[in-house]
Amino acid sequence: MKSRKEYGKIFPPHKLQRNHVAMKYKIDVAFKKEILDPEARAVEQSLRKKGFLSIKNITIAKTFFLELEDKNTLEDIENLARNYLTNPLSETYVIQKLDTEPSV
Amino acid sequence: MNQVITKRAPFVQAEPSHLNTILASHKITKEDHKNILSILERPPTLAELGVFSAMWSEHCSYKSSRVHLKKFPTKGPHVVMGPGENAGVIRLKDKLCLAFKMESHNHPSYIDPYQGAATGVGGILRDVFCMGARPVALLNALRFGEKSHGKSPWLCEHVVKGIGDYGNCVGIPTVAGSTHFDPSYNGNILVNAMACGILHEDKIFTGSAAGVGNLIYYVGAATGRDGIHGATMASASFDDTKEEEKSAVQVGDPFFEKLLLEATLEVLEKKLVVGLQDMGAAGLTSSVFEMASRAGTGVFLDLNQVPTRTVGMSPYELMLSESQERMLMVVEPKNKKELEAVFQKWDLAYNKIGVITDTKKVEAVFEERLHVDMFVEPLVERAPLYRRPMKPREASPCKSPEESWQTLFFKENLAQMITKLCGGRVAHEAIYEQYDHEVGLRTIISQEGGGASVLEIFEPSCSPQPVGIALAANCLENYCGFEPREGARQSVYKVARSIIATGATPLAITDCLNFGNPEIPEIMWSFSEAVEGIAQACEELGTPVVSGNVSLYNETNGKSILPTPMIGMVGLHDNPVFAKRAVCSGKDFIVYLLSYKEKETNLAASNLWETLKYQLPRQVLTPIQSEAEEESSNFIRSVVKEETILAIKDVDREGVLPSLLRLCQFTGDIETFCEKEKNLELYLAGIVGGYLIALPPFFEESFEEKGKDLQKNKLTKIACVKKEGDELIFLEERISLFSLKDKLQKETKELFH
Amino acid sequence: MNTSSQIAIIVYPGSNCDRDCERAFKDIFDIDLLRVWHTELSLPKVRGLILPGGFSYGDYLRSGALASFSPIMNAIREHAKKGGSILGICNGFQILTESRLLPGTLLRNSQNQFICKKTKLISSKKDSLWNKVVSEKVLNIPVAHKDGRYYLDENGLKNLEDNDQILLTYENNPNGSVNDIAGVSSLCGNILGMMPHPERAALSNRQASTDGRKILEYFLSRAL
Repeated sequence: MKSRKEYGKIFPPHKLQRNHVAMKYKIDVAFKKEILDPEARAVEQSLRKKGFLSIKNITIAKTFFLELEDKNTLEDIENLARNYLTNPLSETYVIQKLDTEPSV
Repeated sequence: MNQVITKRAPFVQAEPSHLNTILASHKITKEDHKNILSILERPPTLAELGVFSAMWSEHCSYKSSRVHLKKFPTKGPHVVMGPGENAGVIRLKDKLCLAFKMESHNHPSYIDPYQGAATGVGGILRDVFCMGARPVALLNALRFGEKSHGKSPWLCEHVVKGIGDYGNCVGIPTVAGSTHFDPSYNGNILVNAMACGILHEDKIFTGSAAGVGNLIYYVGAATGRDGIHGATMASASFDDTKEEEKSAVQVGDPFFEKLLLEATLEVLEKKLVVGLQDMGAAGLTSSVFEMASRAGTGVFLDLNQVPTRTVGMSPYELMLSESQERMLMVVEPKNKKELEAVFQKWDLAYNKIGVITDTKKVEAVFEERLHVDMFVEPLVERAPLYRRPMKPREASPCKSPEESWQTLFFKENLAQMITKLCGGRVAHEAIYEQYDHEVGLRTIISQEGGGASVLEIFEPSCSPQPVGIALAANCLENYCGFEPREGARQSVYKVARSIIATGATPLAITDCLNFGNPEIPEIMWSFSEAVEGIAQACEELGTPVVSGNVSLYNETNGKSILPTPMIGMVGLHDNPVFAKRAVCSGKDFIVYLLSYKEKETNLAASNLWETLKYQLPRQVLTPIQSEAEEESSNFIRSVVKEETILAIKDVDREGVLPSLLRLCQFTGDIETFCEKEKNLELYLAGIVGGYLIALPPFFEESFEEKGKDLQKNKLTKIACVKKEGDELIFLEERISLFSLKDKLQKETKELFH
Repeated sequence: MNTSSQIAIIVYPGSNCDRDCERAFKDIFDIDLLRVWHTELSLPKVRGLILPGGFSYGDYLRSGALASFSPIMNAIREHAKKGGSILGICNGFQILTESRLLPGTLLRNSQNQFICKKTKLISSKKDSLWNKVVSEKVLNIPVAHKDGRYYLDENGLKNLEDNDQILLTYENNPNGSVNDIAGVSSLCGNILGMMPHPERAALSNRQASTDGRKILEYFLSRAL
């Protein structure tokens, strides 16, 4: 029978690392105005049925918060947004740079 | 590292009032606490208290129901593995076996219907594939409150979306089931999910922690704070005052489940593991204790090694979290590297978190302190076992009606009355079109017309020829509310009949017994009665119970649901490619009713009875005649072999007229032979033990000839259908089918946006 | 076993219909598809590729988007450039549009729900080979998808029509696709994409239509 002392050898303790954040960006992605968004439409219809009759329009957007370890140019971020985070045929995006907190 | 673990975590020792609060929040009674102290011979740590709370909850220990469940027949020539494992396993043909089980996820689905239903599907899939079975079909049996009642449309929409999104993403077809609406579920919906998987008889895996020195791997998604005490929540009623309990809902990721499924099957194919167990209700706790209990070994866990996605989780949380899509695998040290390679390929989180010992204890350390240190056996052996008091429910006083049901029926416009009879309770297309029922290329018949589903399984390594299975899941809860024993018996027969109607032979069942508060003697009585009814039907039909689940405390503010013993049945089909559907249209055909020679109608709790709004005195349910059922099922089997039969649909509570319309899919020119004075009841009342059979006109004579040999049953010509047209001719009135169908479809479409 | 397999099937994490396609091709044409895992950087020597249905990467970000960033994508582009044949079914069609190998994009169904049902498709391509193989005007092939609404701007649509790139259209549009488009081909016609599942209407021993076979036959006649 193994003693507890021996079990202690098998597993080293587990530690979580904290990383340095150099840059933060917020990217909002939404459908282009001409595209029908059935989800937004369903939400609008539900709310109107509930009595919120003054709602004129609802747009649903996705927001990506990027935390980057190294410095990147705005061009890099534009490339990311245009070619990867959105489908340019149907979606548009808005990029906003955020302040980073002082790192620990 | 030379760690000597002698330090223990602090014990839960407090002054009585504070201790009582802690115990109450863990739903541990004083009696339980005394037992805990005697088992441990010391006060428990907080983590240990959590373990007892979860393992001794109703959901995990079946403390109120265990004593009754013993009455189920569980053995048979087809049964390979009965209740007690993650799923039941039956032999279909040669070495081809089917693992299946039904589980409930009622309480979480009421709180978060999308995630509650989705994680219900995820959980039952894991139960099946951790036996080593590749899942091939999903079923679900849903019960919601009245369509017009506040939350019902929202609950229905999101439960269906949750099941659809999860099952479709994992790529398992959702092929059959049932969805009913009834006021008794206004405060407690039911979401029962069933999964079936195929496997080779010699390659069945069990959740057993075998082999001292073997390693325990955690694999799947990282652990978070979801669903802590989900098991305890499922073991309690809702009431308006307990808002804060409503946070223990788990979140599922079907993509991860798919990765976990493929990785597990790959690992089993490569023979890399000796035991598997999924982490479901009560998370790591129940998995580890169940595995150790089955093998009679012990487990040493290092909770520091559990992959987490949240910082700062306590050992209590690590033991009890119900984060989804996680499994434990037992592996021999020599296979470690190969196992890890498979996990890396599928991008799953994994870590070695423990070893199997011979201590017969479960020991768990966290940050150099021992938080759990207890023997496995007493936890299981000394789990509370209740023999709760039972009291038969008193029948409510009978009021003699002022008018006969026939008078009431004809008070309204006939077309309107028929619309009411057909609508309301059951919903089909709008719901099942949201489930992918064809992925896998095995589906022959899906749930059109509300019948059973038939799949063709072809696994040359297990059986040289393709094998057919028929699946169905349903319950006659209104009958059970009336007479729990006969109602439960009729429920089993109903599901059996929908399977026989396709041409298959019922083999075995799984069940999910959904009831109210067992602390109420009348509810406990109805539970016991239902169990006896199921046991009786299973003996008569030769279909043992191989797995199952119990869900109690389905009650809100003191109001319980109807007793709902959901039955999930599997049948074997010799010729699946020619399985009979429950619908037929676009042709000319004749419809016959095959029913008992006498006492074939039932008014009590029937669809007709409810449509007329309970204005009838209570009557006794017309019982099943088991010999007549045997004769009719033999007749169906012989007749199904004729390719000329177009469709067969089982009839029961709904009645002949609505079933006929569903059979014809609300199209065609339907001429019925109903006469007000002679056979009105046959068309409108509930039928016991009935089948509607559709056949081409030229086959009429030889079919009636066959029917002459029947002794306990009879054939009645019900309708003549022509493919061109859009009318129902009933009692000399012509009713437009198009507008009828339109009204019914609108009703269900309104539930979904 | 057919050792010199000419057709490969790309398998992504989350692909569901790969085994269905394998079964269909084996049962009907006795062809063994070569399975290629998405992390491969090159393709074996094959003449045709199939991108199967399913939920690659859980359909996260956008259906087919993450799969279009997979390591195997470069090899798929090479294959397309050389004129190799590709058939994208359902999720496969989504991956082809996301990687710009086919025009358009697939959006959420207009009724905002998953839909699984039999559909009637109208054969729309005027090409002689297509009409020789797909001889019927109407094909019965089922759909099963949540993001199947085809969208392309006006100019793009005009190009599709002018260049005979529309393969199939829905008789009763189940998802709001623009111009009822159910499937399209690339300009050269070597890349085909469609939302309906031809492999589900192909096996003979099902109580279902076998019209899907014609689509698979057309793909094979172009590839081999």
